[in-house]
Amino acid sequence: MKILIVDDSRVMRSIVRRALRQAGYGSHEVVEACDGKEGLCVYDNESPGLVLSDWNMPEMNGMEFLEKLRADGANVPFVFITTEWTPEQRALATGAGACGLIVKPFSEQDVCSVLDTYLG
Amino acid sequence: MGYLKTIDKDSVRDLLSSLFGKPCVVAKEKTPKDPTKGMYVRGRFVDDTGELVALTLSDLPFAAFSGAAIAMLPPGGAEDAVDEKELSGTLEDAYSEVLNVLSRLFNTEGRPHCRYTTMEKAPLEDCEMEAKESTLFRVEVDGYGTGHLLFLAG
Repeated sequence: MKILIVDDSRVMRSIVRRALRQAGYGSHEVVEACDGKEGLCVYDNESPGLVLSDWNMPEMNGMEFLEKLRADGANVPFVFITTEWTPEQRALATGAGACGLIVKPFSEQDVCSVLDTYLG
Repeated sequence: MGYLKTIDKDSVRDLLSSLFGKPCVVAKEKTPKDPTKGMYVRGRFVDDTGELVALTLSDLPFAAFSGAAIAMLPPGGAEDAVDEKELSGTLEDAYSEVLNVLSRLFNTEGRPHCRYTTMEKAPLEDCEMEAKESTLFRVEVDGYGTGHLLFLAG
Protein backbone atom coordinates (compact mmCIF):
# COMPACT_ATOMS: atom_id res chain seq x y z
CA MET A 1 0.00 0.00 0.00
CA LYS A 2 1.10 3.55 -0.65
CA ILE A 3 1.08 5.88 2.39
CA LEU A 4 0.90 9.67 2.09
CA ILE A 5 2.57 11.61 4.94
CA VAL A 6 1.60 15.28 5.13
CA ASP A 7 3.47 17.54 7.54
CA ASP A 8 5.10 20.95 7.15
CA SER A 9 8.08 19.75 9.18
CA ARG A 10 10.62 17.78 7.17
CA VAL A 11 11.96 16.42 10.44
CA MET A 12 8.56 15.17 11.51
CA ARG A 13 7.98 13.50 8.13
CA SER A 14 11.20 11.63 8.60
CA ILE A 15 10.23 10.72 12.19
CA VAL A 16 6.92 9.30 10.92
CA ARG A 17 8.74 7.33 8.21
CA ARG A 18 11.07 5.93 10.86
CA ALA A 19 8.15 5.09 13.16
CA LEU A 20 6.44 3.21 10.34
CA ARG A 21 9.60 1.16 9.76
CA GLN A 22 10.04 0.47 13.46
CA ALA A 23 6.40 -0.57 13.76
CA GLY A 24 6.94 -3.15 11.02
CA TYR A 25 5.28 -1.27 8.15
CA GLY A 26 8.51 -0.60 6.28
CA SER A 27 7.44 -2.54 3.19
CA HIS A 28 4.84 0.07 2.29
CA GLU A 29 5.76 2.80 -0.16
CA VAL A 30 5.72 6.31 1.32
CA VAL A 31 5.07 9.60 -0.47
CA GLU A 32 5.18 13.03 1.18
CA ALA A 33 3.66 16.49 1.05
CA CYS A 34 4.40 19.61 3.09
CA ASP A 35 0.83 20.88 3.57
CA GLY A 36 -2.75 20.13 2.62
CA LYS A 37 -2.53 21.93 -0.70
CA GLU A 38 0.42 19.85 -1.84
CA GLY A 39 -1.24 16.84 -0.21
CA LEU A 40 -4.20 17.14 -2.59
CA CYS A 41 -1.87 17.15 -5.61
CA VAL A 42 0.09 14.16 -4.35
CA TYR A 43 -3.16 12.36 -3.53
CA ASP A 44 -4.45 12.88 -7.07
CA ASN A 45 -1.20 11.69 -8.63
CA GLU A 46 -0.33 8.81 -6.32
CA SER A 47 -3.70 7.46 -5.08
CA PRO A 48 -2.42 6.42 -1.64
CA GLY A 49 -4.33 3.86 0.40
CA LEU A 50 -3.73 5.71 3.68
CA VAL A 51 -3.15 9.35 4.61
CA LEU A 52 -1.24 10.38 7.74
CA SER A 53 -1.53 14.12 8.21
CA ASP A 54 -0.52 16.82 10.63
CA TRP A 55 -3.31 19.17 11.75
CA ASN A 56 -1.66 22.59 12.05
CA MET A 57 0.05 23.50 8.79
CA PRO A 58 0.38 26.63 6.64
CA GLU A 59 -1.44 27.07 3.31
CA MET A 60 -4.06 24.37 3.92
CA ASN A 61 -4.26 22.77 7.35
CA GLY A 62 -5.02 19.12 8.02
CA MET A 63 -8.71 19.66 8.74
CA GLU A 64 -9.22 21.63 5.52
CA PHE A 65 -7.29 18.94 3.64
CA LEU A 66 -9.51 16.19 5.08
CA GLU A 67 -12.70 18.14 4.35
CA LYS A 68 -11.61 18.73 0.73
CA LEU A 69 -10.79 15.06 0.24
CA ARG A 70 -14.19 14.02 1.59
CA ALA A 71 -15.99 16.70 -0.44
CA ASP A 72 -14.27 15.32 -3.54
CA GLY A 73 -15.57 11.85 -2.69
CA ALA A 74 -12.29 10.34 -1.48
CA ASN A 75 -12.91 7.71 1.19
CA VAL A 76 -9.25 6.99 1.88
CA PRO A 77 -8.52 6.21 5.56
CA PHE A 78 -7.22 9.43 7.09
CA VAL A 79 -5.30 9.56 10.37
CA PHE A 80 -4.14 12.73 12.06
CA ILE A 81 -0.65 12.77 13.59
CA THR A 82 -0.79 15.88 15.70
CA THR A 83 -0.28 17.62 19.01
CA GLU A 84 -4.05 18.14 19.23
CA TRP A 85 -5.37 15.74 21.83
CA THR A 86 -8.34 17.20 23.69
CA PRO A 87 -11.75 15.46 23.45
CA GLU A 88 -13.06 18.50 21.53
CA GLN A 89 -10.33 18.19 18.89
CA ARG A 90 -10.85 14.42 18.65
CA ALA A 91 -14.57 14.97 18.12
CA LEU A 92 -13.84 17.54 15.40
CA ALA A 93 -11.49 15.11 13.66
CA THR A 94 -13.93 12.21 13.81
CA GLY A 95 -16.82 14.41 12.72
CA ALA A 96 -14.88 15.47 9.63
CA GLY A 97 -14.21 11.87 8.67
CA ALA A 98 -10.85 11.05 10.25
CA CYS A 99 -10.57 7.43 11.32
CA GLY A 100 -7.84 7.91 13.91
CA LEU A 101 -5.60 10.31 15.74
CA ILE A 102 -2.02 9.69 16.86
CA VAL A 103 -0.83 12.26 19.37
CA LYS A 104 2.73 13.62 19.25
CA PRO A 105 4.97 12.53 20.83
CA PHE A 106 4.07 8.96 19.95
CA SER A 107 5.55 5.55 20.56
CA GLU A 108 5.81 2.54 18.26
CA GLN A 109 2.87 1.05 20.18
CA ASP A 110 0.76 4.16 19.57
CA VAL A 111 1.44 3.87 15.85
CA CYS A 112 0.60 0.14 15.80
CA SER A 113 -2.60 0.50 17.80
CA VAL A 114 -4.04 2.99 15.33
CA LEU A 115 -2.57 1.77 12.04
CA ASP A 116 -2.72 -2.02 12.41
CA THR A 117 -6.31 -2.01 11.13
CA TYR A 118 -5.12 -0.53 7.84
CA LEU A 119 -1.59 -1.87 7.49
CA GLY A 120 -1.47 -5.03 9.59
CA MET B 1 -5.95 32.54 31.18
CA GLY B 2 -3.71 30.33 33.33
CA TYR B 3 -1.92 28.67 30.43
CA LEU B 4 1.05 27.85 32.66
CA LYS B 5 -1.02 26.51 35.54
CA THR B 6 -0.30 22.86 34.82
CA ILE B 7 3.22 23.29 33.41
CA ASP B 8 5.68 21.99 35.97
CA LYS B 9 9.01 20.19 35.87
CA ASP B 10 7.33 16.79 35.74
CA SER B 11 5.06 17.61 32.80
CA VAL B 12 8.00 19.13 30.89
CA ARG B 13 10.24 16.15 31.71
CA ASP B 14 7.60 13.60 30.70
CA LEU B 15 6.79 15.30 27.40
CA LEU B 16 10.40 15.86 26.36
CA SER B 17 11.58 12.41 27.46
CA SER B 18 8.79 10.85 25.43
CA LEU B 19 9.52 13.09 22.45
CA PHE B 20 13.26 12.35 22.37
CA GLY B 21 12.99 8.73 23.50
CA LYS B 22 15.64 9.42 26.11
CA PRO B 23 15.66 10.66 29.69
CA CYS B 24 15.55 14.37 30.39
CA VAL B 25 16.33 15.98 33.74
CA VAL B 26 14.27 19.10 34.37
CA ALA B 27 14.65 21.60 37.20
CA LYS B 28 12.72 24.79 37.84
CA GLU B 29 14.74 28.01 38.11
CA LYS B 30 13.92 31.58 39.02
CA THR B 31 12.84 33.73 36.07
CA PRO B 32 15.30 36.61 35.60
CA LYS B 33 14.12 40.23 35.55
CA ASP B 34 14.92 40.46 31.86
CA PRO B 35 13.53 37.20 30.47
CA THR B 36 15.08 37.71 27.04
CA LYS B 37 18.63 37.92 28.40
CA GLY B 38 20.69 35.03 27.06
CA MET B 39 17.73 33.69 25.10
CA TYR B 40 18.06 32.83 21.43
CA VAL B 41 14.72 31.55 20.09
CA ARG B 42 11.19 32.77 20.64
CA GLY B 43 8.24 30.47 19.90
CA ARG B 44 4.79 32.00 19.45
CA PHE B 45 1.52 30.36 20.43
CA VAL B 46 -1.85 31.79 19.44
CA ASP B 47 -5.48 31.04 20.31
CA ASP B 48 -8.17 30.21 17.75
CA THR B 49 -8.69 33.90 16.96
CA GLY B 50 -5.00 34.28 16.12
CA GLU B 51 -4.21 36.33 19.23
CA LEU B 52 -0.84 35.75 20.84
CA VAL B 53 -1.45 34.04 24.19
CA ALA B 54 1.85 32.41 25.11
CA LEU B 55 5.54 32.38 24.26
CA THR B 56 8.54 30.21 24.85
CA LEU B 57 12.03 31.62 25.02
CA SER B 58 14.97 29.28 24.88
CA ASP B 59 18.70 29.66 24.90
CA LEU B 60 20.78 28.35 22.02
CA PRO B 61 21.92 25.19 23.85
CA PHE B 62 18.34 24.07 24.53
CA ALA B 63 17.29 24.77 20.93
CA ALA B 64 20.33 23.00 19.50
CA PHE B 65 20.35 19.99 21.81
CA SER B 66 16.61 19.38 21.71
CA GLY B 67 16.54 19.91 17.94
CA ALA B 68 19.31 17.38 17.49
CA ALA B 69 17.62 14.94 19.88
CA ILE B 70 14.24 14.96 18.13
CA ALA B 71 15.90 14.50 14.74
CA MET B 72 18.29 11.85 16.13
CA LEU B 73 21.27 13.84 14.87
CA PRO B 74 24.69 13.31 16.47
CA PRO B 75 25.35 15.66 19.40
CA GLY B 76 28.48 17.02 17.66
CA GLY B 77 26.41 19.11 15.24
CA ALA B 78 24.48 20.66 18.13
CA GLU B 79 27.71 21.37 20.00
CA ASP B 80 29.09 23.08 16.90
CA ALA B 81 25.93 25.19 16.68
CA VAL B 82 26.41 26.30 20.29
CA ASP B 83 30.09 27.08 19.68
CA GLU B 84 29.32 28.99 16.50
CA LYS B 85 26.29 30.70 18.09
CA GLU B 86 24.12 29.79 15.11
CA LEU B 87 21.32 27.27 14.62
CA SER B 88 21.63 25.57 11.24
CA GLY B 89 18.72 24.95 8.88
CA THR B 90 18.21 21.34 9.95
CA LEU B 91 18.41 22.10 13.66
CA GLU B 92 16.10 25.08 13.18
CA ASP B 93 13.50 22.93 11.43
CA ALA B 94 13.88 20.27 14.12
CA TYR B 95 13.54 22.76 16.97
CA SER B 96 10.41 24.17 15.35
CA GLU B 97 8.87 20.72 15.74
CA VAL B 98 9.93 20.65 19.40
CA LEU B 99 8.02 23.92 19.85
CA ASN B 100 5.03 22.46 18.05
CA VAL B 101 4.95 19.52 20.46
CA LEU B 102 5.41 21.85 23.46
CA SER B 103 2.01 23.36 22.58
CA ARG B 104 0.51 20.26 24.17
CA LEU B 105 1.51 21.63 27.56
CA PHE B 106 -0.64 24.73 27.06
CA ASN B 107 -3.68 22.74 25.98
CA THR B 108 -5.33 21.33 29.03
CA GLU B 109 -9.05 20.84 29.43
CA GLY B 110 -11.04 23.89 30.40
CA ARG B 111 -8.60 26.31 28.81
CA PRO B 112 -8.99 28.01 25.40
CA HIS B 113 -7.22 26.06 22.68
CA CYS B 114 -3.88 27.40 21.45
CA ARG B 115 -1.37 26.30 18.87
CA TYR B 116 2.22 26.95 17.86
CA THR B 117 2.66 29.27 14.90
CA THR B 118 6.16 30.64 14.31
CA MET B 119 9.62 30.92 15.78
CA GLU B 120 12.10 33.75 15.66
CA LYS B 121 15.81 33.77 16.36
CA ALA B 122 17.94 36.33 18.20
CA PRO B 123 18.28 39.22 18.62
CA LEU B 124 15.16 39.19 20.78
CA GLU B 125 14.67 42.79 21.78
CA ASP B 126 11.64 42.32 24.01
CA CYS B 127 9.13 39.75 25.14
CA GLU B 128 6.51 40.83 22.62
CA MET B 129 3.78 40.42 25.22
CA GLU B 130 2.86 41.59 28.71
CA ALA B 131 3.52 38.34 30.52
CA LYS B 132 1.47 37.68 33.62
CA GLU B 133 2.91 34.22 34.16
CA SER B 134 6.41 32.84 33.61
CA THR B 135 8.21 29.62 34.41
CA LEU B 136 11.86 28.88 33.67
CA PHE B 137 13.29 25.38 33.44
CA ARG B 138 16.81 24.04 33.14
CA VAL B 139 16.65 20.98 30.90
CA GLU B 140 19.32 18.33 30.44
CA VAL B 141 18.80 16.06 27.44
CA ASP B 142 20.61 12.80 28.02
CA GLY B 143 23.52 12.36 25.62
CA TYR B 144 23.28 15.91 24.29
CA GLY B 145 23.53 18.70 26.85
CA THR B 146 21.83 21.27 29.02
CA GLY B 147 19.89 24.43 28.20
CA HIS B 148 17.09 26.67 29.37
CA LEU B 149 13.45 26.94 28.38
CA LEU B 150 11.17 29.73 29.57
CA PHE B 151 7.37 29.71 29.28
CA LEU B 152 5.49 33.02 29.27
CA ALA B 153 1.75 33.65 29.09
CA GLY B 154 -0.40 36.76 29.06
